[in-house]
Amino acid sequence: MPSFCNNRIWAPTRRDLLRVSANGFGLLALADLISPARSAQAETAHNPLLPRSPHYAAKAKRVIFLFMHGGPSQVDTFDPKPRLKKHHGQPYPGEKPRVQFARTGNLLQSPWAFRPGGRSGIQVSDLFPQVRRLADELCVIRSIHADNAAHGGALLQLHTGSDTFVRPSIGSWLTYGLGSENQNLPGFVTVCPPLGHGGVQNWSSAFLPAAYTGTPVGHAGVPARKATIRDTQAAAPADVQRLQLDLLKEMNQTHLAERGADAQLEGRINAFELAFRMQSEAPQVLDLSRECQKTRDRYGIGDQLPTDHFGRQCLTARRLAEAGVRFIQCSHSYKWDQHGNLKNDHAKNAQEVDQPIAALLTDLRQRGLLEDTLVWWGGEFGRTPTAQGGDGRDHNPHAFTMWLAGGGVKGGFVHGASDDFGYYAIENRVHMHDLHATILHLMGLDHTKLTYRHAGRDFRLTDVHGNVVHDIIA
Amino acid sequence: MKGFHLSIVTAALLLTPVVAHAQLPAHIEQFEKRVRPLLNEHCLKCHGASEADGGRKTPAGGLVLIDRDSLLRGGDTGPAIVPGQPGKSLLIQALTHQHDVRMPPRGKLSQRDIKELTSWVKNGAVWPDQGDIALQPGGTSQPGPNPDQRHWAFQQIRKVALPDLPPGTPPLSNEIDQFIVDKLLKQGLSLSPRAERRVLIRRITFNLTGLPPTPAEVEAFVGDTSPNAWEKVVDRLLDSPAYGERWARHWLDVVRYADTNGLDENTAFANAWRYRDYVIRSFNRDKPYNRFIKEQLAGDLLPHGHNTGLIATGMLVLGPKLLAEPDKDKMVMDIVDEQIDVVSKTFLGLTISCARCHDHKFDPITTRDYYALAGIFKSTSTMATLNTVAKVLERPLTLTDTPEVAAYRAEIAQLQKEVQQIEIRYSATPEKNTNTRRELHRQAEVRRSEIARLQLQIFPPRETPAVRDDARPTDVRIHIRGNHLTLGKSVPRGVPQFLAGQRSLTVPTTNSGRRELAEWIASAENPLTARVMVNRVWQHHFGEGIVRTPDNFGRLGDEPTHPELLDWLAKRFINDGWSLKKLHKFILLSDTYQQSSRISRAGTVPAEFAFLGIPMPALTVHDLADVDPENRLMGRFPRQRLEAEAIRDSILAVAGSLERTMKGSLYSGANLEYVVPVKYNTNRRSIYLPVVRNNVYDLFQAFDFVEPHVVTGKRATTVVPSQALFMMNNPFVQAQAKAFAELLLQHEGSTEERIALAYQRALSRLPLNSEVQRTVQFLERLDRALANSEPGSKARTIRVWQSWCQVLMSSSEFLTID
Repeated sequence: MPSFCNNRIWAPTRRDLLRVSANGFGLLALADLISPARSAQAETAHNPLLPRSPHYAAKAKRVIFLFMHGGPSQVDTFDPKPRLKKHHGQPYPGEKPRVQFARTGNLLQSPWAFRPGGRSGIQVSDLFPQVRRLADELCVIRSIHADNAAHGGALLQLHTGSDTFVRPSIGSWLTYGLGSENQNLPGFVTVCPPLGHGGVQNWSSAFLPAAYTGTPVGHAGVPARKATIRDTQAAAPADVQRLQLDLLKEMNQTHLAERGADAQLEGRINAFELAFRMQSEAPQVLDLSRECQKTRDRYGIGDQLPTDHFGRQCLTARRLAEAGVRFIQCSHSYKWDQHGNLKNDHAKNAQEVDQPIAALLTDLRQRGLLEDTLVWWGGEFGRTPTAQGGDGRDHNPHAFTMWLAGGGVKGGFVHGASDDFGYYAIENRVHMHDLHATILHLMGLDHTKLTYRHAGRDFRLTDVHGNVVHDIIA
Repeated sequence: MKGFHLSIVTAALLLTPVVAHAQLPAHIEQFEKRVRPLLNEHCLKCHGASEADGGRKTPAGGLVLIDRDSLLRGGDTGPAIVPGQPGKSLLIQALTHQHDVRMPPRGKLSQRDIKELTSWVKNGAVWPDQGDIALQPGGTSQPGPNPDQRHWAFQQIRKVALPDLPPGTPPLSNEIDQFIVDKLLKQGLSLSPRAERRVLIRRITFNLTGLPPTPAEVEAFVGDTSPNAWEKVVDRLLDSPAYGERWARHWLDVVRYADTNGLDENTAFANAWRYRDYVIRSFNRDKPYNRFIKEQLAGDLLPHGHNTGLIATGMLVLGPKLLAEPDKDKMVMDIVDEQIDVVSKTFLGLTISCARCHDHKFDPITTRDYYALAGIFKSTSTMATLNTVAKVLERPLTLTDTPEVAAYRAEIAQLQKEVQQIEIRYSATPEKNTNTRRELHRQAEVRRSEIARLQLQIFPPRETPAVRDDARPTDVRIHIRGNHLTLGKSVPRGVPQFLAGQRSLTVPTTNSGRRELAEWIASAENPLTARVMVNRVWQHHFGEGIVRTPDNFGRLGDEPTHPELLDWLAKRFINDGWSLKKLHKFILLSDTYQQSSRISRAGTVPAEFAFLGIPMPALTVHDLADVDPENRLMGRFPRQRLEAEAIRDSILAVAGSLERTMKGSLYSGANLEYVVPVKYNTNRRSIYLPVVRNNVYDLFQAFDFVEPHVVTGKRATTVVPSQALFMMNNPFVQAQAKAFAELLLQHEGSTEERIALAYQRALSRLPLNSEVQRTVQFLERLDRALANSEPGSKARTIRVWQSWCQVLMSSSEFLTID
């Protein structure tokens, strides 16, 4: 694939100018002039959100990432460790990592029983009874590992691939690679995202064009029921704004006509119209009262219910998925960090998300959306099998569990394994880079070819790493 | 280096049990059939003898795998194999991922392949011909003649002759135009005609100050018939404090300035503003650029201006850091890396950080060069503590003695004397006189607290983010593949060798070498420093640089459009004592700067191309767009959208709300603690708003402000709907549109006159009749539309005008500079 060293977003080429003069609205029409052989970077220079073909046939068209911020414990949720029970209270027999976040004590058994779910019989703990029933949809990866044992670094690596440098978020990469299926909505939406531990960095486009930055709906500090997209609340009645926009368009067109072809000036005229449409479409998509009561009940939505916050996020995710948004993230923000009080707080956290997640998976399946929607569940790391205090676990990036569902992965399937106690991933290890490569692959993108030229070199989500985990692909 | 290799070989020989392995045919077959192909396929790309590259690249990790000797000799971490002992062989450890070096980088080999290689080592690592492994001829890994050293940017700045223009060419304003016109003529093109005065005054005022010209300033220039009218404008604007507020921001983009750490733990740099104000001051005072460089790199080590120097080094401190990184060794090297990145891109236009893990793929920068620089920054303290959450270093500022301070000091001295006397009396008083002793004690206490109070007056606890040289500077060992767990050779502190040339730099063992580095960068002989800065200045006048990749002058950067002009300007800049204001003025006085931005409509015969008064080939405008669509020849002034700050500041200025206070901090949270929400409800200029990494102000985010974690020499200019949504619905725009409406309504006069005033303030021109009519119609229509929702006539009038003002401030003409 040729690389185009060109970060000039709007420098019009001769073709642009000709096209502009031919039909007066060169911007969108330009896309059909661009041959598929050109790199994403060259294509996106003209209309950043136009849908683009993947590198090869995609299994999934969109991603919903259910982010469990804080680090849910794998040995208490999706990675059963019977020997932990047997050796409870004894020292971990292996070597602890060179760098630890804090010191931990002896092995701590899980307070929860594991039981098989679905026909596949995948073992899931009693924390997730409703998700367990859908075990046949899940592709559980028990050998995820990453590099950073602190929240900030781990969140950054999870979202951007790097715990060291400022890099674009995976949602930005996907939108850059594939564009958006709905021109009236952003391509990458993040619902109630955390503002700490990297904050905006986790959904930022970094050096990719600004159009690929995630659009937040509210943030972790506000309940989902009050979350909105910034500046989409019309400041004036629609008829007043229409009059304003009509005048503006007239002024801008006169201004443009006096200056001859100028793609930027044309783009701006277009942007106001697009904004006007987005302003009417976005609130509709986010308006959950348009769903019937039965659906809202299934997601656990209700003012007093513990599931309300995440239930709303999940239902919003489904609506955004239907509307053609490319990458959607829901965040159960910074709740899963149980250095202490594991028994109560993990139970409370799981209760808040179990039903909404099960409802989302069921709803997607019933609508036929699960086939090409990749659902991705997990936290920034797992937790140690050893105890912190009497009822807590420390951060553990060396082995944790994430699961995928839908979007071309094997359902009812377990991939990889951690050691007998769940401290280290040992079998079919999947590094975060490998997972990123696999997600891109499922979306039809080759992670080694999705590049952007910046500061003198081509950047990738996976840097120089990443191997697609073919074993989990259906 | 040779000696070093020898010692490794000796060591290898001593450590290797000398086992004579017979070259059994089966072993030879194993090597030829299975091992050689494996090495060829998986290893030689990085560990071959790179004759194909002209032998210039050192192989990865210093290791070549082309014959048995090279394996025995090994690389940076020692011998690659111990024949007969796979368990002790680095090669096998790396392949089985039992070592921190894991090979191949693209993923572990299959079990079968690993088994094959293991058994081969076990069998004595038989290598039948002892010859070269690959098809390519064997070579040494020593660097040969380096083709990259011919790259234009690494050559000394040339002394360039002015181009010869054809006879009859009318006089041009200055030498810049000679270079530009020379190239244009060769393409059958010419400069565009001079822009109208109203356009020019708007262009230059935004360009130099980031603000619109006032109607009075516009009229003064338009009516000035003196021959130096333009020069007067240039001088006036360069002298205005708003110049520093505008151009400092360009610099802050490059040095990734922010008031918070960002990355993982977003704590506040509540004293960062001192650095920002220092930059503004430096631009306004036209501090020589070479001095400006030295202060930022080593101000703490310079003999004069101690406070200024300390504050200036804040540049090195204010980078983003993983403050909760549990691996402290990695944290230190990441901070060093960030500093190398910002320093090399900012001053030299080089991407040296690439060489942290491997020799630069495109520029002749080696890992050795990288770790030579790393030693300098590793020997410099940037952090006060590495414990989570880590904190950056701050250093106290000293106060200069004013008469007031002198008076305080005298008072303190007097009080101290009194305390001393009281203490003497106290000890002379027998213990049983309890009351007397108590009284004396009380008197002393009163004075002591007074002293403390006065001392605070003299030394308010003022600190600034700054660096300090370590007591024991050290060189750094090469980190193989950038990993701090696999260390190679130690590298003496210094500068990139390919650039060092005649002036190779020796760093004394007693200090970090920062000062020497600063002198080396800020030198007239450094081929990059002046060029890079001249290019940055040019870019901020014309939207594009002569080199269009301002932070990368390496091989992957753009070639200069006008290399001779760049060198000519760089020389002039140095000869002018590195004065930025002289450089600005020279550029602004050129015809090139004063051209029109218009490409006239299609089909018209370009009468304006007769600008030079010489016969021109018949050109249509389509030709201009065809020949030079990207305007690389500078045959017109490039139209530009205002940056985020200029948009906000001009909205405030036009609405009459702008507050011009300079200096100081608008951040209210505690220093080095987690950032508190910032309210942006001030009417001061944008440069004074805190830059919060991880959560940049909405308006800035919408309009392509920099990503303040990284060096940004050139901002993007995007057109996205969120900008339109901002202009339509954001409360800031609403409030300022209302303020503008009220200002217009306070103006005594007719509707038409108010419209005219609005155009003058917002667009620096009077409206056409058709525009007045269109506006009047709009106001009437809106008045009808609001009749129901806003029945009170006064409130409705404001609302109607507010809605129109909002449109005016959202218009392309408001947001664009011709």
